[in-house]
Amino acid sequence: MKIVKSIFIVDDDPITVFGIKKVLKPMAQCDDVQIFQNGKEAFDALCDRSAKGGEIPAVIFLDINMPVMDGWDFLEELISLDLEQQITINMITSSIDPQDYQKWNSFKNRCHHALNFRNKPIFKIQYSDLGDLDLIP
Amino acid sequence: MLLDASDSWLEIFSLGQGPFDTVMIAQLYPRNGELRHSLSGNKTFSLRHYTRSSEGFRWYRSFFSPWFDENENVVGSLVQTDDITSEVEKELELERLANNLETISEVAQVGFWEYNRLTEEVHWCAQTKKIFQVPPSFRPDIKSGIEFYKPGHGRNTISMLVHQAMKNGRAFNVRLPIITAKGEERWIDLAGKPITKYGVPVKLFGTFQDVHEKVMAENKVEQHQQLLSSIIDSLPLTIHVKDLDSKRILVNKAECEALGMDPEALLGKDDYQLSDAETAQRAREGDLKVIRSLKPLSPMETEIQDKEGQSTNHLVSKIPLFDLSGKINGIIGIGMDITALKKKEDQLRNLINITAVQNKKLMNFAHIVSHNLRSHSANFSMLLKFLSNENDPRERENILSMLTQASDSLLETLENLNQVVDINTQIHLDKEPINLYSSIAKVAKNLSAFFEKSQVEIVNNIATDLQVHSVPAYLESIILNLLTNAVKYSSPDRSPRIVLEAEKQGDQIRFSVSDNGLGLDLGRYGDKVFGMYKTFHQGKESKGIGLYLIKNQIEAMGGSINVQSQVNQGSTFNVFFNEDESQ
Repeated sequence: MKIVKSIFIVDDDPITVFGIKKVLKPMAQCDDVQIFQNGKEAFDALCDRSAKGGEIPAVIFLDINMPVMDGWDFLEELISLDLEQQITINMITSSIDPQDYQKWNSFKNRCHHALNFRNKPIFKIQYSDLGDLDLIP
Repeated sequence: MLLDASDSWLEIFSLGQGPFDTVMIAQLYPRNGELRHSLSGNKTFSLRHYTRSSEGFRWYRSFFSPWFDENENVVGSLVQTDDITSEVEKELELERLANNLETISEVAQVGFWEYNRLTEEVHWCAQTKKIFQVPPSFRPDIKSGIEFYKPGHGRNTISMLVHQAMKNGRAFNVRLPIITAKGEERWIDLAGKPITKYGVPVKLFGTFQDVHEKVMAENKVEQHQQLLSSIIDSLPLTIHVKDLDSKRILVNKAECEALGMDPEALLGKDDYQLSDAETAQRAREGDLKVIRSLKPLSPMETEIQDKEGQSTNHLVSKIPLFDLSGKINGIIGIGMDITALKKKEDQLRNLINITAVQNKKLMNFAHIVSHNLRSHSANFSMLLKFLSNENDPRERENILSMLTQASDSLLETLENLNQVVDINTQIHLDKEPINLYSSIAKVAKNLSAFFEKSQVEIVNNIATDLQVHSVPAYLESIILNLLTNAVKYSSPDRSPRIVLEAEKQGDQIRFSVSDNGLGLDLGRYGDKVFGMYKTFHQGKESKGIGLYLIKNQIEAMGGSINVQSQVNQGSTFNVFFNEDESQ
């Protein structure tokens, strides 16, 4: 069980959110799990926390297709924030479009955050999804 | 022994006055042995002799007659000597002239011939005999002379010409084939001129010249030319040759046909006289480029208009034409008619465009289908896995309700997709003229409860008699979606106001729905506005299907839709109905 200070789940599909929460439970202990319906909500919250000196999430589960602001736009905005902390971002998508994979790859090379690409369905998560490779037994 | 002589005789032989007893007659002449022999024959004879002095040769002829006594015995000889110098000189001159003639004849390879009408004698010079390949001893007459000509045209012509020359005094100059004594067929140039005496032709005089090699060479050139022009004229390419001023000096049949003009109307003309200024300018520039670079110009597409204004497309190459010394002296233009090809290409390009659009649509649709179906199936498998591992009955309940939810949204998705497929697979659309104003009124009536709740003001500026061509169900769907969207995304700060307008624009009718609602950031969403499952406002029961559906419906009817919008000011959706029934 890993202790994570703060986790964001950004997805407009309640079933996926339910799933992520469920698979997180046995893996991580976190008192601060926040759910967002789209990138805009999550980004606003992140800015708010950053401005008020709050806890920046260590792990973000990020959907790609969302209304108002999609996952890619969220990533774009996040990079422009130039945060010091390294965030582990897990892109969760049902897309098997190679273009999405390429996009992920280019984002991965552009930022210092740890970017993972996870295809739905999510049955369980790995420690690497929680950002701590050193703790792998 | 000389007995007596006149003074003039003595002078000829440079002898003084007598006595002559020491002068022997025979010693006065050259070849005196011969003379002595002749004298002893007691017959009259003559002898030609000359003297040489500082003034040159003088020629004489001496007649020796026997001198008889009363008994008819020869006792001596009487000698009479005449000065024949001028006679001999004339003879020599004639000989020289004859020699000259022969030399000229030989050098120029021109033979002479002569026909005497009175004696019917024919004379050929040595060169003529050579031409006819007969031995020097050959004696021609008029009949054998004519028989040397090739039977048919040759022989008929010469017979007629000789006849006319003798009858009318007409000179002639003709090229005819002969068959020589050795059986060779050769071409000769034959000239004849009658010589008249008292106005009557008495003689024909003329020349022969063997021109066989020349004629053969000319024939060869002509044959080449014939071959070349046959090829040039039967090629399915337009060919012209221009001089350095871009004036045409040769055109082939195809070029004449393409321009719809006779060769005479084209030769000597430049492009400015044959086509519009712009085309001519381009052609001239191309020509100059070839003249300057001395290199062929790669094929260029050119449009050619004939006299009737019918235009054809040609792929024209320009090639420099060099003279024998290697200097450029013209341009060869070769054009291929690609009109049919071009038409095909246009059709093909059109088809490719349509296909590309269709393909893109299909890809997009396939993507949507796979993505949406996949996301549902992913949810199913995730939930089922959870369910199988779950023992807590309450959590199982929870998961089961979520499975029901997932199943419902899958059904809805399938229904949406089915609608889209329906629109795009309609091969025959039953478009009919529909009154736009009353269609809107009908939809508005159905939505009246919804509008009342939102306190919507609808301004319908559409002419009451305007008709659009549409599938009735599609038109209803379009109006319904645009009106509900306008209300759904209204601003909380303003009471919603919708303005409807329509106007004819060419063969289209523009129908616009403007609202004063939330508006869209088009710079950000732009092309996604009409995308499937694209939503832009939070929590408005948006499904991202309405605009996608009506875009498909409108495009299926040959129309289009666009949007203008400003965030927090409002949006205007413009629908263009295609009223051109030919499509």
